[in-house]
Amino acid sequence: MGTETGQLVFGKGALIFIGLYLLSMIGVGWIGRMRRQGNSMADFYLAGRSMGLVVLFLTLYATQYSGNTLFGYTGKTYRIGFTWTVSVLFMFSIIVGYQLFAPRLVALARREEFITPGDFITHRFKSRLLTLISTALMIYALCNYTLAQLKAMGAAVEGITNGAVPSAYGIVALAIIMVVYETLGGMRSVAWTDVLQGIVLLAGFLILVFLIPDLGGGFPAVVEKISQLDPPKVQVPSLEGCNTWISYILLLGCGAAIYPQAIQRLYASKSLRALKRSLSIMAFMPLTTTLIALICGLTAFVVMPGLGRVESDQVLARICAVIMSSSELGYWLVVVVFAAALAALMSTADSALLSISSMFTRDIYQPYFRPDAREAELTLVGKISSWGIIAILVVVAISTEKTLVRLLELKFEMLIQVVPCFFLGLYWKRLGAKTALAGLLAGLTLALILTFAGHRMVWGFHAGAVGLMVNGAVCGLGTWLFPARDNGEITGHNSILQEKG
Amino acid sequence: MAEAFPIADLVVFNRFLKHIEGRAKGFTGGWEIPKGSRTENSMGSEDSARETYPELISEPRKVGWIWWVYLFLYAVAIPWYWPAGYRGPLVAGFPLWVAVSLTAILVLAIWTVWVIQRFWRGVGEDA
Repeated sequence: MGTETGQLVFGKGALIFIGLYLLSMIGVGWIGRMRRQGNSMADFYLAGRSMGLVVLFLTLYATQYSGNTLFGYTGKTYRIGFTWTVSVLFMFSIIVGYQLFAPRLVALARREEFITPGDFITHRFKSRLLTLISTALMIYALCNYTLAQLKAMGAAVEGITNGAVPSAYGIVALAIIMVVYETLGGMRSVAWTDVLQGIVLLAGFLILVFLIPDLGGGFPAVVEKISQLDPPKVQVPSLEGCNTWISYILLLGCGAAIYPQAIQRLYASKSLRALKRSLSIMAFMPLTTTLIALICGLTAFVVMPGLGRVESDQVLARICAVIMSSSELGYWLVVVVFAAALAALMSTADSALLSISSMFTRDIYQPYFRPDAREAELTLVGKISSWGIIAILVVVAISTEKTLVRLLELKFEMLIQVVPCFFLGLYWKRLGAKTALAGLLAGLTLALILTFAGHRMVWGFHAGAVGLMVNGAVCGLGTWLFPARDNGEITGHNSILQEKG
Repeated sequence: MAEAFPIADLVVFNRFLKHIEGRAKGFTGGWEIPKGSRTENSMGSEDSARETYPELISEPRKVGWIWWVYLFLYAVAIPWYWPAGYRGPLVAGFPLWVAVSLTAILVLAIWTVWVIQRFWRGVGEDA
């Protein structure tokens, strides 16, 4: 191993360990295939709605905490200091977001046998246009999400092999492993690999919290040092900064709660009891995961100050390189941390990929191309589309450059505009399809105009959050002025019947 | 100095939201198709929630005071009330304002678990 240059480089033994770990994913995927109950979409995409407490919790955990948590959040903390404590609050807020719509959605999904979020929108609004636009937004957001994970995977592989394996090869290899185990057993394979990945991820964070603060002489010493080097990093944020906190809570609390892969895990729960317990445990995970990323980022600032924006997104890898060079035990602990990083990246990417494939098949291919297709055909199309989508994403990932957190914000600015369809659609009976569509388009247009005009933040609020407020206002006013009528005109119910007739 | 938290504005805003929501729900017009049908539109009003969601005994969103507690805890967790540039003494290594925010998040998590277990209840969930 060589760590003199601050790069995280693994020896042969560690590379074999990581290789075996990755191959074990395919083994788990194969076991998932063996346990399938049939060839239906519910079995492939929702594991036959059979997830119990342990699997459900670990798959929710591994899916929700991505490469962003490890690399993006440590980098962001490095740049802005304690202000990023908001990350603990907004990751918690996702669970609050669930309470605003999940009880009804889960009950409805069971009764109506939903597979995708688009199934709910179709059922509720009876508008193909609204379903199509919502699905397109969700697919876009997930593609962006997957892209970020793929790019981070490539950078990680290139780093540990000291450039012997270029980033592009790393992306291709890991993407193939993911798509193979996903094609083998669908959600069952993805969830079971998530169990393995979730355990490794928890172990990785546990190791980090014991190893990293010591590098700076203990956490209190780290904070005192930052107070001298860069006081704003330990000071309370300004009022505009607090607006940004509220904006993040809105973006993540609402946006991440309606992530299609998260909604599909709600659908896939074995029972309400298992779901409630899983979400209850998830409420505490930001304090054991995001908080540790915060501590790592702060320590890194003291241990290796002066890194630029792009370099700071690699600060965790750099600090691990320092630990590796300190002792043999440190070396192997970092190998486990690296496995955890790969676990975070892959578990998020595979879940997003499966979700994209399900939405493409169920909400686009079936209604527009093969309304009478059998379940086996749809499942096959889903598998083929997974390979097509990952191929496109790999090409894009290899040919573009951007930092992780910015990608996350761009994705939420789009995805969050679908929120009123769920949060209001489940409770406002008079909210019609045209009103919901008008709100969505108004919010989306405003968010995009602000973003492309260079106004990513307005009084501390993200462009997407401003768009969501306008979206909600349009839905409120539209429902007040033009409530849905019983002739189905506004809900779009008649237009569907006419199309079918 | 931090500005006073606009509680009065929040109360007015809450009334406005309730007014809008009151108009938005409660509509049981003819686009309801017989129960049990695959195409039934089952977005129930508050009064008909039990009817349209027979699987649900209760849900947190319908219990107003829960959300006032959430609002209070979020107001504590977001550090808007500290003087500009404040750091404070270190508590377990964290600046005081961070320690207060993290404590509020812990209380929020405990509160959330209680709310989920107590107010999100479905028929036959223990079966």
